[in-house]
Amino acid sequence: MNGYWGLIWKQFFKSRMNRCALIIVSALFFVALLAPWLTSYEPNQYDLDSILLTPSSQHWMGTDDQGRDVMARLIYGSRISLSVGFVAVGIYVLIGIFVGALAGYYGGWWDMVISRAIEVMLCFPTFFLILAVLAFLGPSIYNIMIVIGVTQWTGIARLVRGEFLKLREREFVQASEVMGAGDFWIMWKHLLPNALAPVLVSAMFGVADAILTETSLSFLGFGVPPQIPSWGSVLSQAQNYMDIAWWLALAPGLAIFVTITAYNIVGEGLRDAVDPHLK
Amino acid sequence: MTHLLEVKNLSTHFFTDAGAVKAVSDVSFSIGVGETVGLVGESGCGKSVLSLSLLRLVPRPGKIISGSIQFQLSGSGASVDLLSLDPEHLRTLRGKKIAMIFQEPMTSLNPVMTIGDQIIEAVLAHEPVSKKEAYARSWEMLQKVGLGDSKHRMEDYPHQLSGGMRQRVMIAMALVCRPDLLIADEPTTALDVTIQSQILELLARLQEEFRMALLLITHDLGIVSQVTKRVLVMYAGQVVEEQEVSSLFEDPQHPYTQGLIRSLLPLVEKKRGLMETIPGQVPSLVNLPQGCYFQDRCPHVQEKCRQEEVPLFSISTARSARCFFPGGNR
Repeated sequence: MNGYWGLIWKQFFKSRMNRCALIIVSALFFVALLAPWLTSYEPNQYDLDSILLTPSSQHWMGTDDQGRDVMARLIYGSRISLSVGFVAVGIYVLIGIFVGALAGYYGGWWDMVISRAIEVMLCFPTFFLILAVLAFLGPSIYNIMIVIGVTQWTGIARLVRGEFLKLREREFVQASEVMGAGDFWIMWKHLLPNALAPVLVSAMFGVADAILTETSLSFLGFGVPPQIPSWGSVLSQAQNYMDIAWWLALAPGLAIFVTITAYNIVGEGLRDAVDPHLK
Repeated sequence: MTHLLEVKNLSTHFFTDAGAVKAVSDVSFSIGVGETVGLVGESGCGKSVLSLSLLRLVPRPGKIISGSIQFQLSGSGASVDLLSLDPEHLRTLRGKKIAMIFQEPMTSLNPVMTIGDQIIEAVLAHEPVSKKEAYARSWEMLQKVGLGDSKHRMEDYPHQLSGGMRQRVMIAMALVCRPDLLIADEPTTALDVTIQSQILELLARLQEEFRMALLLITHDLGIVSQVTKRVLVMYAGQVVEEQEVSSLFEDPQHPYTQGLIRSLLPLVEKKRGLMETIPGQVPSLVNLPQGCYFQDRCPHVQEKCRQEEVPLFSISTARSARCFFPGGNR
């Protein structure tokens, strides 16, 4: 397909770094998807005969204090980390678009109320809010997704509000009104597609952020229950054995670092690709 | 002739912090079925606000404060008042019965949709037809506006087209539902002169084919004389003169129209010298003077003009002026 998205795509692919980052991001997808085929170990398969083994041909990333294969835990952990990232961002992008659209399209009283609500939300130190809520609700990945989703929508909402406010004055919106289009139609067919590119960029950074938030929460023990492997919980367990088993911390640390960097590069590449088209 | 559209005493004001801006004051006119009417006036005289008022799409903080707009529905013959119609019903008339095209073809199309999709959208908004049927009608309309060179046109994005081509697409979008009235708000202002005449010819041809009425808004008296039969001249939010084009240039009634015609550049330069202008400035629409709005610029102003509000005087059939001393009778 040509046109607007085609141009963005072409611009994005010009940079080698963007291409590499995109390959890493999609490779991670497949790792999460194909986890059972990528490792012969179970993530919770205890083997007390092989505790804290150094990396070898049998255990590529060694084993932990209960004899579980670290690579298997990381591979299955990527499912948790990625699904938290995507579901949480999905929730808040939807909320943000809905709220921002109301404020930007109808303006006036709607805009007043919503903008003030956003400012109130921004006043909360979100991470501690999430921490407090999870302390009440108990650790579970669904709670993390929902809590991140309902607290982080303000950025997208402000973005969409601004875009809608700007686009609303464009002639093609008036032309559509003159043709008899209703409010919903105009927002859905004319405003949203034009505002989607910056939202996508922001969502890309958001995924990286959400993964990091989940990791931090799990590291602090407020994330997923300990038996469920996630990058944060693997890292958290590693700190007890830091002096005798370096691989325990290095492997999840590296996984987190590479993932976050790749998502941020994709986000940045998209932002640069989108920029010249934003009139 | 039966009236398709009859506007009576329409006033639209914008309520700003500086006061009420009287963009349209007490405008009355009518358009017959299939008739072409020109609406001329300088920038800021309320032409565009008037046209948006007809569709009740005046942007905030504007408000239609009085008047009525009777619109004859084809088929049933019944007429409705657009100003008191419920919004849902009005929405079904926009685009279907009354369509509008704008000055800026460069920005009047959605940059992320193909032009085909945008015309199809116009069909689907009003007709209960299948996507396939909508596509067929859109393609047919695209051919009618002269963009039928290849089917790939339907898949083109607006940025791939020139200004003139985009205006043709706008016309196709506006006319695909066969409206009874097309409001064209300076449709050729943003185009260069050769394209301008092509677009005007196209509009005239399609108007005849579809038997549709046309309200052509422009500030160009040349276009008016070329396309329309009857002209309304607007000044400071009022219609100051209504005339047949055939007599407008020879016998303008209102001193403003007289000034406008005098200030046209002669085709053959008679003598060296300054172009004729109308002295003074348009009064502020927030702070309009008592009496005639043209009093400060009028060469024939009398005491009466500063005291009394001037009604639109009928001079003969289809000829009226908002002046106590129209033509040379002073």
